[in-house]
Amino acid sequence: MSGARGRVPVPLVRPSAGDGQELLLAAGAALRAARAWRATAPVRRGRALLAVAAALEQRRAELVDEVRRQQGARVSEALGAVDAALDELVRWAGWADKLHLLGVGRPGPAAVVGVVVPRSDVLLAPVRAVAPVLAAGAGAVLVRPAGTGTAADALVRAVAEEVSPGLLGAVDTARAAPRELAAAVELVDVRWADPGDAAAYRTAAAAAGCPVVALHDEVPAEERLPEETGDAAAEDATDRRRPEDLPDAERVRPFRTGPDLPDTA
Amino acid sequence: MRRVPRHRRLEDASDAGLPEVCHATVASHGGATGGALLDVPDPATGEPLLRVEDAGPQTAAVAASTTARVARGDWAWLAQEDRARWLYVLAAELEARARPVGLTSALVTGRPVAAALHADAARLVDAAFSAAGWADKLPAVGLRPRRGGAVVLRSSWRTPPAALAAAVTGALGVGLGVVLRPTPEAAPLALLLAGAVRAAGLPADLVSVVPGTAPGADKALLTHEDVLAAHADGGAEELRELAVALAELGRPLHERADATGVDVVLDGADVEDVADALLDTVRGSAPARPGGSRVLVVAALADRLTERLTEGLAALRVGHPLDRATDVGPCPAADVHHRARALRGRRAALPGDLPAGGWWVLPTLVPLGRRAPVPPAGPVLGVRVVTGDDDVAPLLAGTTHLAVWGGDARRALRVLGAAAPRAVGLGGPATDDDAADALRLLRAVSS
Repeated sequence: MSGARGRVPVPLVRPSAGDGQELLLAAGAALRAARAWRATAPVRRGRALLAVAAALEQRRAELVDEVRRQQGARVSEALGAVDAALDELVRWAGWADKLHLLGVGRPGPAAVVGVVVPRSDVLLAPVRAVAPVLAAGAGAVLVRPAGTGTAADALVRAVAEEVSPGLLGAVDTARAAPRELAAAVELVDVRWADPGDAAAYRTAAAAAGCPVVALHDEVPAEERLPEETGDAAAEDATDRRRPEDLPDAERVRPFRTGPDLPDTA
Repeated sequence: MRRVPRHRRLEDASDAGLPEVCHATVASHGGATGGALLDVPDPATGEPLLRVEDAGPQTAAVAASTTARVARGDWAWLAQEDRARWLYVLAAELEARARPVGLTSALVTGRPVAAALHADAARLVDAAFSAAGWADKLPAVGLRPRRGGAVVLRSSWRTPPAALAAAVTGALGVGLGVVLRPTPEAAPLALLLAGAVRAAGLPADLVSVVPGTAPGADKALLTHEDVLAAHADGGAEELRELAVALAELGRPLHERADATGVDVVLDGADVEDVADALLDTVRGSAPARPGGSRVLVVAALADRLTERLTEGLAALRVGHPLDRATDVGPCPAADVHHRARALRGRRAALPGDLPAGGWWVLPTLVPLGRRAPVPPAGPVLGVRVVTGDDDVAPLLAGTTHLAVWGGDARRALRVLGAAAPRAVGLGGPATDDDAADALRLLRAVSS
C-alpha cells in the first residue's frame, strides 16, 4: 500500500516546556495535522491506517518485549496483546470509508481526542482508542503514565511516518493535568484509564464542558454520548470492554493464520 | 477540433501483456475441451487485436465445480479477519499491476490511457481496498459469511476495472469463489484479475475465468448446483431477462445497471463548473457512462452552456487511446459506434489521421426531444432545455448518476428526490460510493 510518505522526524514532544505547555503543543500539532487528515479521502485514510499496522507488525518482536516489560505479562499474553492491537488497526483501516454508512463520521471541523492510557495495558488500549479516531479523520493525544511510553511511542512513531507527523502525540500524565487536558481537546477518552485517573479526568472534563467517552458502568446513562447506544453496528465498531474483562479466549488471541501485511516501503 | 499529430509517442502496448489467445483458466487441468476462437477487434483500427476462446458448457461446468470446491475447502473456513487480510494483499497486488490493467483497458475499450493509468488505477486499488474491508465486518451489517460455493460475475466493455475488482473482492470476502464470465473484449482484464488473485497467494482456482458468449455456457453456469448468486451489469432489458431466469432458479442477482448520467442545471449554476464537469464525462467516453449522458438545463442558462460545451467539445483531442494527449478514444464496441455515429450523419467527416476502420466518433452535442429522449453511449452529450422543476422529474427515470447544479437547497433536494440514483452530486459531479456499492453486492450474495 502507498500510505508511506518517507521518513520524517518523530513528533514526540520533549519535556522542555513549562506546565501544560507540552500538552498544548501536542494538541495544537494534532489539530493542525487533523485538518489535512480530515480532508483526505476516507478510503485513503484507511489505506494509511493499514500502512501503520504494517509498520508496527514489522516491529512485532520488539513490541512484545515492551509489553512484557511494562505490564509484567507472560509471553503468550504479550503476543496476544500485540496481535490484537494489529488486528484492531487492520479492522479500523477497513472502517474508514464505511463510517458514513453507519451514520457517523460525517463532515465537521477537525478535532483532537485526548486518550488516557492505563498502566496495565500499554499498547492494546491506546490502539483501541486511537484507531477509530484516526479512521474518522481526527487527531489524538495519548496521556500515558510515566515510564510506560515506549510501546505507545511506537504507535506515535508509526502514525508520524505513515500518516502525518503530529497527528498523534503523546505526553506523560505528569504533564497533562486533567483540567489542562479537558481544555486542550474536544473529547476525552477514559474507557481504558486506570480507575483513579478515569474519575479525575472525567470530573475535570465535566467541569470544562468537554465530552467524555467512558465505560457504561462508569457513567450514568443520562451522561452517555449519543453514539453509545449499543446497536449491533456500533458495538462492532467500538468495543469498549476493558482487556481484563475479556474472556481469556478473546484476550489472548491465537496467532494469525493469514499472511503478513503488505510491505508498505 | 484539435487532432493528435502522427509523431506522438504511444505507450508501449506490450506492457499490457495481452495474450494472443485468452483461454478459460480451468481448461488446462479440468479436462475440458476448448471452444472456438473469437476475434476481438482493436477499437482503434478494427483489425483483430487478440482471440478469445468461446468456452463451452463443459468448460463452464468444470470451472464452477472447481471454484466452488476450492472455496469450500481452502477459503471459506478462514476467520473473517484473516480473509480480510488476504484481500488487502490482493488490493496491494492490484496496485502493483495498475499499469497492465490500465493499458489493457485502453487497448480493448478505447479508454484514453491518461485516464486509465491515473484516475482508473487509483480507483481500482481504492475500490478493492474498500471491498476487502467488508470481509471482517459482515456481522456489523447483519450479514453472515457463506461456507463455500461460487458466484458468477459477468463482465463486458461496460465493466470498469475498479467495479470488477470490487465485485471479485466483495464476493471473496463473503467466503465464495468467483467464476468470471467475460465477453470476449473483457477477457484480458478478467485474466489479469485472476492472475492477481493467484499472485496474492490466494488458493489456485478460487477465481476462474470462462470467457465467451455461448448461451450454453451461460446456462451451464447459472444452473450449476454450486453457483449461489450472480452479478452482472448491462442495459435494463438485458438485466431483467437475467433476473427472471435466475428467479426461476431461486438465485439472487446483483445487478449494476448501465451508468446513465443526468446533470440538472438550475438557475444560479456556475456554467464554467458545469461545462468542465460535463467535458470530463465526455472524456470518460462510453465506458464511464454506458447508459449515456444528458443535461437538463433551464432556459436562462441554455445558450451560454451550449456555447461553452460546443467550444469545449471542439477542443477535445480525438486520437489513439495509447496516446497520453488523447482526450477521447474510439468507441468500445461496434454497436456503440454505430448508434453514436448515426447522430453525426454525413455532416461530420472524420479527420484523415485517425486509423481507418476504427470505431471513431467525434465529440457531439445533440439536442434531445420527444423523438430522441436519451443519447447513446460514446462521446455524446444530449441537451434538453427545461422550463421548470415539473419538467425535470419525468425525465429522470432510469438515472443512475444524478447531479444538480445551482438552485437553492430546497429546489435541488426536490430534484434529487424525484429519482432513485445510486450516485448523487450536489453542486458537483455525481460520484460512485464504492463502500455502498460493495455493501449492496454483499447483501445480494451473502446468506
